[in-house]
Amino acid sequence: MKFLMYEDVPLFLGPASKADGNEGDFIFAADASISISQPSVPRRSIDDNKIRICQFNNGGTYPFASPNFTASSSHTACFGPTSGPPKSLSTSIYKIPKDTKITFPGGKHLYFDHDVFPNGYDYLARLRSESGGWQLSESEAQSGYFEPIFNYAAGGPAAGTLDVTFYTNTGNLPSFFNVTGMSSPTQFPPIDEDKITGHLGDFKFSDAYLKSFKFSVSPNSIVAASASFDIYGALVKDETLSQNYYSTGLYQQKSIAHGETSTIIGTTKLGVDHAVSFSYGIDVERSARYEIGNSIPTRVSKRATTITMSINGNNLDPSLITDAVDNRRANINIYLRDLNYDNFDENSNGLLNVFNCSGVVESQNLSVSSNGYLNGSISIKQHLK
Amino acid sequence: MDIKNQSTPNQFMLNLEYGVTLSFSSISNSFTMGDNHTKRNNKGINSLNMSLKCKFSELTDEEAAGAISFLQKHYYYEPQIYNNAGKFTNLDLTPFEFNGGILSPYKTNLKYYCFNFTHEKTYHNCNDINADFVCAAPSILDSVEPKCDYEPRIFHGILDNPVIGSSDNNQSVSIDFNIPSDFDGYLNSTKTLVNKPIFESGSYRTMYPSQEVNLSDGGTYSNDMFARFGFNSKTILTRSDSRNSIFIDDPDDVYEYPFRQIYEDSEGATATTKYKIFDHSPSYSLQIQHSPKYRHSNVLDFYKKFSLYGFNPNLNNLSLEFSNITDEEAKRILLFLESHLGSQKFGFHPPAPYNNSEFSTVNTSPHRRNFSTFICPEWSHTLIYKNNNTINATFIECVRF
Repeated sequence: MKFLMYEDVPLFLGPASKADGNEGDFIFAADASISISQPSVPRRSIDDNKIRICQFNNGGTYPFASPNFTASSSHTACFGPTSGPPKSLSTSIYKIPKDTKITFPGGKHLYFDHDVFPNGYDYLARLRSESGGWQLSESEAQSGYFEPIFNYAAGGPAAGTLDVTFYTNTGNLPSFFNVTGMSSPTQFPPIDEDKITGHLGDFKFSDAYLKSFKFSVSPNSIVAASASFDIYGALVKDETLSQNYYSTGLYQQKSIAHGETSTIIGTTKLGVDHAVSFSYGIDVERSARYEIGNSIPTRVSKRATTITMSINGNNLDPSLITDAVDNRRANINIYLRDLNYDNFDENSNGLLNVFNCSGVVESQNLSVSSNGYLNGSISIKQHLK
Repeated sequence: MDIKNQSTPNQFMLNLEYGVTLSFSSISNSFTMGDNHTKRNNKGINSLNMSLKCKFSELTDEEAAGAISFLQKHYYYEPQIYNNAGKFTNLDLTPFEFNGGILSPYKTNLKYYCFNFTHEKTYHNCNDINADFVCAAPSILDSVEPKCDYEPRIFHGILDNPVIGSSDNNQSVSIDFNIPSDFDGYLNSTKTLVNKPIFESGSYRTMYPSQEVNLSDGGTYSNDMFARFGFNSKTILTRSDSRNSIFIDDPDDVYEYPFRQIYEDSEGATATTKYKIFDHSPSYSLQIQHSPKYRHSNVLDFYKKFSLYGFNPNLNNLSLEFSNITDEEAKRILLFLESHLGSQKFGFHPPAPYNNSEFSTVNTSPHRRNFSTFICPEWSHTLIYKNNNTINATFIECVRF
């Protein structure tokens, strides 16, 4: 038995349109989870757990005649209503295992003497008696109950999610974490609906689409970001995927965004003179089109793209919330920086990225508690696309 | 969006999505006698219709424009042109094909009209199109399907008395394939389908070939067969390409029990059915509505007298659903229903307790015995997902004779 340690399970993401994912990156992730599910529905048909025997022969002659059952005797039974014509076993049944018991009225039992996989043409089966000295009447033979193993159908395509918490570690946000980013500068119309691929450990996934990207900044803390992807398609295990990742840049020194140097501009107009923490998130609605014959979508469209920000500080401006929406407009810029060491050899980049939110104030909140200060918080939402 | 009016493409290029529903309905004359015995006749050779109701979702603006333009272009009205005979030559509404066909198991070369289509812009660069398509002039003459029992003229050849003992393992068997000389010279070959049953005549024993073997008239062949209950009588195989369907592609790979089904008649003798038996079980839940026929007089508003009316007054109209079934079973059901053209009777086992023994002295009605007879004038097929189909069908009960 082997359980893999955190450091032995790399997360790799890359645009699917690039050959072999060479343009992708190993992600410096704090945690990652991937899940795939597919709905299934049982195939059930009326009275498919009920056996009706119309004759104990090959179904070619009538009238009904019950054998005199003896211990360990086998008999060919033809299924169907009294007097026929025979009716095949229901195809809602996947399998009737050998030795499945059929219970008839009066404490009488017969057992299937072989496995049966109904295919729509099963009129006959061999049944076995484990006791002797009894017969089945014509009406008793119509009321046998048993417990088969039923068939299932896929109710829809396989789909899942990849959730990852990670540290932004370069000056450029890779396109697969950038909801509004373009994988190709010449793309027109300028809507990037490209999918990404990747693997978590040795488990490869494909047809993943970014749904949301979020991060929060607070004093004296590194900035942790999170992203969520919709995944269409099944997981594939490939034990060669993570063999060589130790030689990649994953273990090189990282430059990580930090709350000590990151700044937010534009809160004073909203009544927050001193912002103590803030968060930023961008979400996009996606919708998939599945064409007949395919189990992965032909297109996963982008719909509404929304930016939400939350700022905590020392104060707020109560006059903002009015019926006049124009009074509630906000324009915030976030400058994400790393610790900005003097020596570039220390892998310092300074400014990593700028995020903007130009929306309206949606809500305000004041709170105070014992041993604390009065805090104001404000939420802003921008409908981007 | 009169945007393109291009001559190409000449096929509808969008692919159907899961959830598409195909509806079938027949137009027939019905003649019902006092005992509720019903006879139906198709009104004409184009009396079995198929239509599709489908949705194309999340289309880009370009895809939507192309699709709408294609559907519109058939309605562009141009100056009339008439030939020397005085016939207008450019007024016909021409049907079109889907590129690659609609979906399995339907024929790819069927043509359609689209009289009703709706374009909805749901978001920037996101469009939905709902469209109804009607199959153009399907002919019931295209339905060539064996009825009950041996039909040597065009359909069947004989496998002469293969003899196999009962065994749970494959056995080698030598088989002769012969077509009676009066009926040969037309489609003289067939093949055994792997793991598809070959039924023995006079019983329900089967043998399952383990190999696909091509058979020609007059030839002797060997094959490994699985015959759990043995096999010792002649049987028949349908000649390749002898069957045909109006809508279904390649009907050779699905079939039903090929002989008249065997039952016990009211005299206690072994008999065979006059009709094919629809041998599929509907899904839960099944609602059976009872609306017995009766007469009433209303000489006065407040005085009504109710009377019995006719024999067999409580025949059922069943709305059956066969849900989550495989592609193969869906094809079997669709082919079965189509081959009865919406007007021909077939047998069906209603669920318990809606069946009685042939010998019942309590229920002397000729219907709803061990099986009942029905016609199916309309049915629909919805593709839920891969290998997941739902078929809804309306079965109207008839008196058996």
